[in-house]
Amino acid sequence: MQSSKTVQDAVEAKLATPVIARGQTYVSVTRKISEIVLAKDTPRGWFVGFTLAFALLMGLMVGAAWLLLKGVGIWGVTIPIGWGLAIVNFVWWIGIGHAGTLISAILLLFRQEWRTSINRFAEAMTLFAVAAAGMFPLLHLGRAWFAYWLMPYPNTMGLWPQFRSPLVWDVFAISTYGLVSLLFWFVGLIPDLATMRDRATHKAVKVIYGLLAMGWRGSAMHWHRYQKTYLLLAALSTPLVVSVHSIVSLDFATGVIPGWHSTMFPPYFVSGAIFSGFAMVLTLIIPLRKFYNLEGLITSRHLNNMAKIMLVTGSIVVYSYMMEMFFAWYSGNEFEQFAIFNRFVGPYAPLYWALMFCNAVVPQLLWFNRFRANEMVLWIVALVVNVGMWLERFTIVVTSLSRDFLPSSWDVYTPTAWDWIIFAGTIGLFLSMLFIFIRLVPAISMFEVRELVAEKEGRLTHH
Amino acid sequence: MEQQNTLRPRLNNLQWVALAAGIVGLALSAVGYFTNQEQFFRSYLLSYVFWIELSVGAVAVLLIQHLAGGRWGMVIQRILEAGAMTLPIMAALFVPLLFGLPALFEWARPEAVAHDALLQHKAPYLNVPFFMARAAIYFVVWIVIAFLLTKWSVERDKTGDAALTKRLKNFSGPAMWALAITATFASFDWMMSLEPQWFSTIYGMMFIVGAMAAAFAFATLVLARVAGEESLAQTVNAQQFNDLGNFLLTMVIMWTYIALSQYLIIWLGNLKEEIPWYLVRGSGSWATVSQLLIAFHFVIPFFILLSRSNKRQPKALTMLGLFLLLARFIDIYWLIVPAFRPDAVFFHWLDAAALLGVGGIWMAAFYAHLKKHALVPRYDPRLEDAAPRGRRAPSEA
Repeated sequence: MQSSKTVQDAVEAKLATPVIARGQTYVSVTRKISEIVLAKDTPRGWFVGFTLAFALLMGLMVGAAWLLLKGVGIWGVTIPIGWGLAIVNFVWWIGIGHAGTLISAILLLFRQEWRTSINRFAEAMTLFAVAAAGMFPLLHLGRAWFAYWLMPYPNTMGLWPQFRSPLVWDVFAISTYGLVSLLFWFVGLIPDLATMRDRATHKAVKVIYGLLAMGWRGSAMHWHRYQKTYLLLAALSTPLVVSVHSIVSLDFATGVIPGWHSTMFPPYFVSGAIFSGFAMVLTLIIPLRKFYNLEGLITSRHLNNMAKIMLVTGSIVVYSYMMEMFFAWYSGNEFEQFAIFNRFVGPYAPLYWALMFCNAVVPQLLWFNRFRANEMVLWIVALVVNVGMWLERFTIVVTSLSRDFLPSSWDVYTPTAWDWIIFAGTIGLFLSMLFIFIRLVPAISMFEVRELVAEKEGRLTHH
Repeated sequence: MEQQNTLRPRLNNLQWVALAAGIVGLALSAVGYFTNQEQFFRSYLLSYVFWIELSVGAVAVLLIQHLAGGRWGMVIQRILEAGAMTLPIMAALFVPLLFGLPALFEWARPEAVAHDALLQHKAPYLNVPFFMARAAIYFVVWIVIAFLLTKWSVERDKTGDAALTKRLKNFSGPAMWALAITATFASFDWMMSLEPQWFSTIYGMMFIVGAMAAAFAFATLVLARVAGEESLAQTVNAQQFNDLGNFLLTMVIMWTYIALSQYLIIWLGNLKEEIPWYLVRGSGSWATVSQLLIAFHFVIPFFILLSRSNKRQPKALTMLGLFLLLARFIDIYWLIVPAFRPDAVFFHWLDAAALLGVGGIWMAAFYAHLKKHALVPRYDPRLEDAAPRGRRAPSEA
């Protein structure tokens, strides 16, 4: 009894750790973060990780080249399952990106100071995830060199995109989202790039960071304009993060395929996106902070808060599953009923039940302080949710297409080796870029963390 | 509580005025019952939904503020508790509806069900005994949540026990789940099933967001009215109003997002089982109500709430709160009444009588609870966090 009480206290104390550990100063923060980049020696672990990621990326190069040569026939897609792994992966990657924008923009507007030490990393993750996602619709076009036809531009053919189609809205939504995310990330980097310029010892390094810092001197005027710009970009990103996945959901919902046409899709998809995005941040940041000894800057409080956001968004996702099942029956529409029944017992049923286990059962562990305080459990839950969210997209895309209204046109979709190579390749692309990012740019925002230190000191002197 | 010397008589008076209004309204409605039974039930349902939404929304926001913390929650906590504690009397006021189910719902008329295969399919859910059993469950869940939250918060005022803060927080997570599910199905039962052929998977979310919008508007409005009181002057400042204004803005945006999602998907799908719902609301005089709804529930409050100075003035927020409650009424009217009157907009004097009747009783119950306890919790960990923040909050810019 006594011991369980102390364990409970220890858990609570751990979860209540401040967003920045005691004893951090301006100097210690700057040194800790900038040294990861400026150190001459690259850690051996970095090389191992990067090599693995880069090998996967080479797979993508081969896969994409072969795809462009031979056409989408090398994939498992067929009629009626015209959207295979490519669209599954696209939705999955785009969803992952959402956590970055949520952390950097929405949490900034809500004045959540714990976002500070993870925002840079999460934003970088967003960019790379969008890059990985954006590749799929382009490759899926078959003739990717005509991708510019998606843009509305006056041309001699008199050819315009169909503006009523969410697929065209996707083009605008994702390119805008990618661009604003890039701007937001870069603007957030400028003061830190100047710090890097000042701390670098090598001449060439100094010049490169100096060019990127765009003449930042840290004057009061600079800061004033900087903060205005940053807030403006945050306000711009916030509607974008919601719009992107809402429009992705409309790709499905406006089709009248059973299992796709559901008014709940936009909020359901946005919640799922944030759910998977935070799972990905946790998956990456838990090993990262261990490897670079960043526990003083990315504390248990960060992990706890992210786990809580996963619990909330995961709950909305589970609520949506429940509504889907109820309405399949309530609608009285036999095709909708069959779509759900087909998920329960059809050819893809094992994937469906695996998805339920991953997304609806396992995350319930996050209700308990004990598990949210345990990085190992948290990491496993996050990994499981990543898998679950991928399976969810697979279930939505494939089960509905494989068996729609006419039994004579039913078919079963099996991804080919090329499907998997290209999917693994985008994971390689994503991880390679992350490794390069960690090596070249401060992965934690130094000036914002210093601000936290200042605030904390200010408070201490007040009392 | 000596600190409420000036407020108490005011609340007492208001309570009696509300009670009198409620009795007059209900009496008029009773007259209407004998002259036009069908219309009585329709009007009564309309006003009942408007007021119960406020109670349910109060519980929802109360749970969220216990979970999320923040001083904005502390300053409206007591107002929300009083709003939630109207639930027992609202449960009693639900009873008259049980006598009018066949008048209100097609699925409750056996002769209608006998000729409709779809209604027969839905009969295991849409039938009178199960409808009543579900309503009983909803009220039990809601009342238990409201009662426990209020009880613990009052206890904490007396003892200052930190364990109660933890208990409130731990309870609120699972309670939110229970509330979401019950409120969702309540909206299906009481509103969506008025047009039993139609369905929309987002309907429950739409109801919950609407309820929260109403509760935020109401709580902000009440806070703005009492903020001048001595007992509050020290704890409530422009920053809290700013936060509440931002929440109102968020609610307005969320409602719009959900309403637009539903519309866009049904419009683009254009299926015969879904589109009639919008065809009715988009034709004749109903189209005007639809346009009014867009203006009142989105365009006007959205632009007013973008301004920072509006969000910091109690006077402006009072007007805005009233305005949003009006928008909520238009929304509920737009959701319910076309089921009875698909051809054209229709008002009946009983609508006003029932609104006054149910509303008067609701307000009386609200004041009765509000005057019992200090307007701001006396022991709340959030009180200690009163020092102004060092960093300029980004949302202030």
